[in-house]
Amino acid sequence: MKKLINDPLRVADEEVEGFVKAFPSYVKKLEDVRVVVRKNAPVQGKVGILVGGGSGHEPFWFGYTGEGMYDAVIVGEIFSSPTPDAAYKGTKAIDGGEGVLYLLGNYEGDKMNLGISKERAEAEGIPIEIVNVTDDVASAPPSQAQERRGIAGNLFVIKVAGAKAEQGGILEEVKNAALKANSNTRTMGVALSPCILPATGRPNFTISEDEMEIGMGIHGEPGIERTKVKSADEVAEILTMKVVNDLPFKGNDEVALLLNGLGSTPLQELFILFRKIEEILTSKKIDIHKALIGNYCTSIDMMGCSLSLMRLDDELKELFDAPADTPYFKM
Amino acid sequence: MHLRIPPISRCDSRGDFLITSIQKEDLLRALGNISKIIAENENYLTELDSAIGDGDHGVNLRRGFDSLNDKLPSFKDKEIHEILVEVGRSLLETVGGSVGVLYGSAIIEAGKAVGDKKEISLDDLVRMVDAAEGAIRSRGQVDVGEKTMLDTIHPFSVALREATEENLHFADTLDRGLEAAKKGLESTKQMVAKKGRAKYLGEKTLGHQDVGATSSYLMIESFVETIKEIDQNSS
Repeated sequence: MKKLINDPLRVADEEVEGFVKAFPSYVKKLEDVRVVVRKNAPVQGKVGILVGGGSGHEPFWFGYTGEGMYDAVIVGEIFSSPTPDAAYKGTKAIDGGEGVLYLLGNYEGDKMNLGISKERAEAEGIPIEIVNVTDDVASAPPSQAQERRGIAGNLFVIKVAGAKAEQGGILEEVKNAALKANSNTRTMGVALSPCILPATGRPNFTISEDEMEIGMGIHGEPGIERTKVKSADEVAEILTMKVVNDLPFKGNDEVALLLNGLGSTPLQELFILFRKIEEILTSKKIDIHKALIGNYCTSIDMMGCSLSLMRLDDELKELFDAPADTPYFKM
Repeated sequence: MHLRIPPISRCDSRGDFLITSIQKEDLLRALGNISKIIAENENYLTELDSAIGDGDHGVNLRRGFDSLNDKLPSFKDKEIHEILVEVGRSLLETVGGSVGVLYGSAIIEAGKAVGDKKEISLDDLVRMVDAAEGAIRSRGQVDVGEKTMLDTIHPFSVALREATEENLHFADTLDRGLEAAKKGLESTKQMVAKKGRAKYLGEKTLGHQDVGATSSYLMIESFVETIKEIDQNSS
């Protein structure tokens, strides 16, 4: 493997150090723990929003720390949940007196670790709510939607909840906004290659040169079908139809769209895919309110992409369009 | 550097030259040995985890136990329950993932179960293992047969309790437990994963030994061997 790293065991530490040095006007790091908080935390009178998860998804998670998004990010080791003490310290650092919402990706480790942090914070009188994002349609059938994993569509949930909190929503309102965004968001991904884990130096799964896997998770969780690599138009059609049919999205729906690269797929290919995705949605009279295209939630150096749609109503649209100013997301 | 405390010779109150309880020094030595075993088996655990999980079990456990090993010398003046709570907290904060929470919580609860005892009797040990098992069940929302660490720890716990009821000697009781733990570990090969990232592979997990059950077994084995070594040195 070729990687520009120093110590494979210090990758998460060193990337956070670099990120904080790069954006001193936006963020600061807490001492002793891998927690990044917005520069002016805690914001008094505002519900705090805390996200957490393993690293390896850059610029997710820490890249969106700041105004209109979230207040704290707890950074775990690569693909591994962060620890309870870090989450607790992050919670304390952003508590502005209105409670804190944890937005998690519905992974067992995250729920256990952040669950302990929640217990500790609540014992000190800080109200905590948890919303688990479940946008990945490949990870469980609709009948078990609560089992689904959270992937790139998390960005929409963060955007909506972050705006609600910034506008002065109380904890319950911010939580409800997050739940509403989540229930209107669906994502489908495709992987063309594994990613190389720095700590082991090995790919996290094997796939032939001429194959791709539809529905693979962002940590290499198995998908729903492995096939020969198809053309961009065919892949665009598969992803779009899987997403559209799941909610389902219908004619006259208005959507926010995220076409997300997983790390090693160039923007060039994302635009070729988008060309077809737009055509399919237009033919179905689904109106794209805004499209985000780029590497928003990666899987280290995996080749592939995911398509997320969030169905908008007036409230979600207003919150989606509300201002945000963070290192890697601005609106 | 891994902590190595030299074996201590001693006899029990009846002068049998066979241990009837675990002292604080024995516990610290066992923890040092477990740290060493985890470090030695990092690659083995990585291989098992890469087959059906995400491949980070070995790395994460090693980081946690290396860190713990560095702290062990500072625990020597603490009480047994304080040591266990510190060990659990250390693992909670340095391992990460589900594994850190599960092992960390298990050891903290074992520490609470021993209370202010100055030494660990077999009855204490049974209660401690039972408390550890309870912590894993409640934190992990897991049951026996789901291809997890519980499939090693539960049979260990049951066998210890049964052996205690037969009034076997300490070392023989531990042997019974270890034997049951080994069977439990091997039984995970015939299980379909219901927890962790492996659960997404469903039937494809058949034939693979669970990595959490394996690391639990390695720890139990190292613990039992340490205590038996002390026992042999004392007789």
